[in-house]
Amino acid sequence: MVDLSIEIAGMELKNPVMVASGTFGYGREYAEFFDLSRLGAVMVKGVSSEPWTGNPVPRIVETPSGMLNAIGLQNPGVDYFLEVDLPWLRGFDTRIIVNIIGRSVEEYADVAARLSAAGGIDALEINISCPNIKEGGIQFGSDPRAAARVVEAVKRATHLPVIPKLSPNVTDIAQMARAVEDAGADAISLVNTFLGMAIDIRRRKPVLANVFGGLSGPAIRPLAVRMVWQVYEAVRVPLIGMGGIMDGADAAEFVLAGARAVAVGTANFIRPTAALDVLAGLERYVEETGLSYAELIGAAHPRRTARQEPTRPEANQ
Amino acid sequence: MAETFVTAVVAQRPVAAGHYELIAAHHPALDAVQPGQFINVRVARPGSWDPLLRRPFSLYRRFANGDWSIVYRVVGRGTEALARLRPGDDIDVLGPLGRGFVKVPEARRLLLVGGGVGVPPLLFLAQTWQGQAEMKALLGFAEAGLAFGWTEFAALGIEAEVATDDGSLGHRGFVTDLLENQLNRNEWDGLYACGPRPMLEAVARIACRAGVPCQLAFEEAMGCGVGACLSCVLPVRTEGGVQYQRVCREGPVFWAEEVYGHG
Repeated sequence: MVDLSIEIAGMELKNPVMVASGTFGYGREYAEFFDLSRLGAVMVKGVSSEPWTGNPVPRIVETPSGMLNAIGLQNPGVDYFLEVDLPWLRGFDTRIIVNIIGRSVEEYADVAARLSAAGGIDALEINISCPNIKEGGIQFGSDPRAAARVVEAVKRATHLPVIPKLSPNVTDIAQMARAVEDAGADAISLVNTFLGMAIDIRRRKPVLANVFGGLSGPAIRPLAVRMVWQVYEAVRVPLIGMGGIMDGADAAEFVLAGARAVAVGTANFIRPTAALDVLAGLERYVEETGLSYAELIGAAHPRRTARQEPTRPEANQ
Repeated sequence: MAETFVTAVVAQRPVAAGHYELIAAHHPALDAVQPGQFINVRVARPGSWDPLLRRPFSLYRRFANGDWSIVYRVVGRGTEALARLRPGDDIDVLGPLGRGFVKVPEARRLLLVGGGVGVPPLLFLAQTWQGQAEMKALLGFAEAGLAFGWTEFAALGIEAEVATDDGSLGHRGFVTDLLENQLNRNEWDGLYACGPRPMLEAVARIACRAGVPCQLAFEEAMGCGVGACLSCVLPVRTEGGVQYQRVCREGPVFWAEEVYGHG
């Protein structure tokens, strides 16, 4: 079996396949289908300082090769997570990355501090990119200075690796990536969902109660791959790539574009074991290339600078 | 315990205008399905991700050889794709999912109220609980051409009364007229319903007034079907106040008063 173990932001991962925040709850539902210890990491659903109720229904609508969601970050709050879900998740031999959400810089820092004090968490992913809430979320994700402020505040509040999750709803994703890297990000997740909407032409009204939703699934994959490519050329920190990954070949695209790890999201909804299928497919792909996994990271880039993969001996400098 | 599995389509037959019964081959994963539970069916061709999401269906009936069926109405791309399946084709199923109807042990006389494509879980209930209680079915449809299921109830020895909005079959009016009539005339100690939301709300109100315990099976736009995505939520009265619960996980069956309160 080919070795896909990899280090990212100081974490040793047994493999680079994670499950994306918001598509996997806190793990319980899918633990009925497979052993979560087989995953490189679980990125749990966004946690806020107090419980959030989320948006009215309809919260989801299918679109061509994709879906729009507007859940509104419904979650039971950080206390409940620490008391109920985290102890249970710790029973698995996988990395636990907790996605944090807030309506203000202070809320992000507060959640980060409370999670860090608990122990048993491997990293924090900062959701500065949710398109489905009125305040916070995306506003931090579309202004580089606001994004940097959140990252700095979270960095001060925690000793854990900090991984901002970028919104794709920006003109210049590389600029956002540089801003959060300069603010101290240890790695970067990209991308969150694309803002979209669907209209019920019979009712002549938006389908989603929230009007707008976040587009995910295979429909967004080329957009996400492009953004990983651009960010790989702009920053040094490792990237976690996601956006419509359905199988190992899709994951390989992200790796070749520059992702050091990948996350499976919407595919979980269609096949509960999708992440394992992605892992098996990626293993087969790496084996077929005859290269090591590390050698494949960013390998599609025609010219690689020393800042990205400094250890790669055969880099064509 | 839910699992994903592939089985074969055995047959498709029209049951009403634009409505088809899809019969699929026995699979042990579905041997213990409870009435009101559902399955999530992939409608895209193998290897295709369009249409992307699975579609939830209640079982309609089980055959002596273990084969089982669903009924669907062709309303969009997903059900159009289902309608293209032919005998021998694979069908990819995730299930059984959700919490089904509860059989109250002391309940002896059950009324089953179904509206449109909400009828199937009630036929499956009638088949599963046959002999355990006396049952009567009340079925509502927009018009005669869209009506189905009453002969299947009759085959189980269960009388089915039909109402249509336009009177083209059975009672002219709503199925809730039949329900009020039954509750006025006879003693019933359990009410089970599935159908459009306004029908469920009316059934809940009538049941509450009559003091008959009532369970309702809900439908909501769904993503994963297993409780992870939080798409299909419903405001439910709990000890901690009104909270969103997941139709796919805590439901699809809820007690009427949990959703609509007491009257």
